[in-house]
Amino acid sequence: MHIPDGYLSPETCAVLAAGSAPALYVAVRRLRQESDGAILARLALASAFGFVVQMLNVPVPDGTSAHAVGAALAAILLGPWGAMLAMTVTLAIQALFFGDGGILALGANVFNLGILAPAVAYFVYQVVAGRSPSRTRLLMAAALAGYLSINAAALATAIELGLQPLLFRAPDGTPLYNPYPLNLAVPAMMFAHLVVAGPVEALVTGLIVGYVHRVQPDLLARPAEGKWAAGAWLPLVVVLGLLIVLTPLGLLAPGTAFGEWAPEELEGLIGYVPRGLAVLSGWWSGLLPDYAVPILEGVPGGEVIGYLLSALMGVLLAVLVWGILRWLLLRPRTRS
Amino acid sequence: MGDPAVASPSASDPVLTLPPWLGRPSAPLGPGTSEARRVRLDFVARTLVGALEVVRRALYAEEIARRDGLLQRASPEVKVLCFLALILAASLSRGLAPLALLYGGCVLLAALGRLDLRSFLGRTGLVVLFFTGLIVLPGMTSLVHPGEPLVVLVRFGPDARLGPLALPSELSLTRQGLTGGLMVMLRAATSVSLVTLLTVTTGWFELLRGLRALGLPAAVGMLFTLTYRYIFVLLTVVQDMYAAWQARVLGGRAGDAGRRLGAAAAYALFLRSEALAREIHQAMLARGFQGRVAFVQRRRSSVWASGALAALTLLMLGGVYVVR
Repeated sequence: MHIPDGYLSPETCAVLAAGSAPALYVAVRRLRQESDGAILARLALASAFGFVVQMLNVPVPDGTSAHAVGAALAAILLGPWGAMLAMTVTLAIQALFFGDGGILALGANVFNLGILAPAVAYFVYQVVAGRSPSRTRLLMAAALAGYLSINAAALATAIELGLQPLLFRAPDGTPLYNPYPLNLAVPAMMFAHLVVAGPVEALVTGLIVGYVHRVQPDLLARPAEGKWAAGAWLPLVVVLGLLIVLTPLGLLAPGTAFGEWAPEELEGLIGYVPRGLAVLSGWWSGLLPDYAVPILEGVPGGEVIGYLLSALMGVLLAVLVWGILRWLLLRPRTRS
Repeated sequence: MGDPAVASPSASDPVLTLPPWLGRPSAPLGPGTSEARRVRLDFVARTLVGALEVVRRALYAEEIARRDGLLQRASPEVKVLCFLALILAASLSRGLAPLALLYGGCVLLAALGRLDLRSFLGRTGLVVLFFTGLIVLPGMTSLVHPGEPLVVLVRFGPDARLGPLALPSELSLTRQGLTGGLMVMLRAATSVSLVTLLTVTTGWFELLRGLRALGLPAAVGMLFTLTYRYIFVLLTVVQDMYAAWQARVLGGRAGDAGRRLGAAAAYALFLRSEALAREIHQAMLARGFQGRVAFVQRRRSSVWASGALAALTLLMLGGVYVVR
């Protein structure tokens, strides 16, 4: 999933690098507080472990062997901040010394695999494991953390790649970077990760966490301490999940909801289009206009999938915005 | 008295002869032989091969970095700056001509770095062009980017359908798609070539010095140094672990037994990394480490080589500006 140079515009790389910087800054500060001066040695060895664990192959059920990306494993063994820094250093070393992944694209790779994947993994692991998990629940939490973290990173990668032809085109329409728009990049990337890479990551993460839990459970991140306890999050997750699943019910309603008319519908209703609406209605069109995925047009059930995907994206965006606001407004300020 | 080892066997002694199959020389198992290709590597062998590949690449880079070429003699600070400027130029180039010029410049730089040109062109040029080409090929067609058709590939005719999907009347290679695809291919090949040239002609220590000159904090440089060093220590741990396991255990590699071994290896590796971190910290304390890091110069760089590289870079950037 390492994006090489050439597929993303330098502008995208710069924005993603800037987006990664606050998380890395917080991670360094947190670790400096926790590690009692030994941060350099711990981080270096954690990063070396992150590099080498990506090479450990494990037999998978189809008769071949596979290895994990290791973001979830790092988050469970090192905690979220340690995992973010270790993955970032690993990605930097892969790009700088081994030529794996682009140098300009390093910001994007760090954002996807170094920040997003460990954050998703740790959150999922904490929420699913709960306060005092049974072994089965702990393994499920680890496997789900592996599955969802790699898929979150894949989705972010696909969105970054898919935005290129929308944002960077020559005047004659020639795509300047990755040529595939969102409606192709997202399904292509997600199919491979939902069906193949995700289950592999889940299996390998679950196996290793299961082994560690049996022989030395104190090595694993303490599940659900305080605010991330499953008790607090589970009802919200269940309700949101239900609401997402129920969104296609909107398809049963005839006509357009009151006040949501398109300019042409409004013209049919009142005979003209107000000038302000005519000017402003065209300036923004959503990523999924009318909750439809263009590639699924004409496919049976395509409308339902479009509604589900739109709901999922909406919830993720809302959670992201909420998280950023919360961090900005409520972060503890230390006085020197 | 005769040497018993060369004494001819008498008629009463039993004659020891090798069975013919044991005397036959075994087929070589190097890469590329049909025998090697038939062997399906199990997970232990794949891990060992992967670990060896990392070591091999690092050794290859060290060997190239020791050669006496212009790129090796240039100062790491100038080299890092020049290569970053060229990578940025490749990324910002939005036409085929500047990208072709930059790729030509890469080949010239490879020759100046005393690299084997055939292998360089094969590994960073053809391989990247081929794989990127495979990825962007569908993107060159009217299916993804409608535009001026250059070549009609398939005519489906009006109202053609594939199951529930409506097909376009024809599938063609478009000018916009082809230009965009070729641009991505050339840009990828140029970027990979530049990164390869920088990493193989610069020892990792020199590379860190170059990055320090660009503002990389000393602590981060030290972190990279330690990580890089201990990657190889941990790789040795993995090699020892798996080689010992291969030598002692017959069968039992497939399925659950193999998965248990993989999990145990990861656990052992984690424990080893934690223990090493403690040892390194203690060693740093014992030697009075106070957080100050200095990167010593290992190789004397030449002013004329640095100047020549900077001039060549400026020439390439100027060329890109002219043909953009």
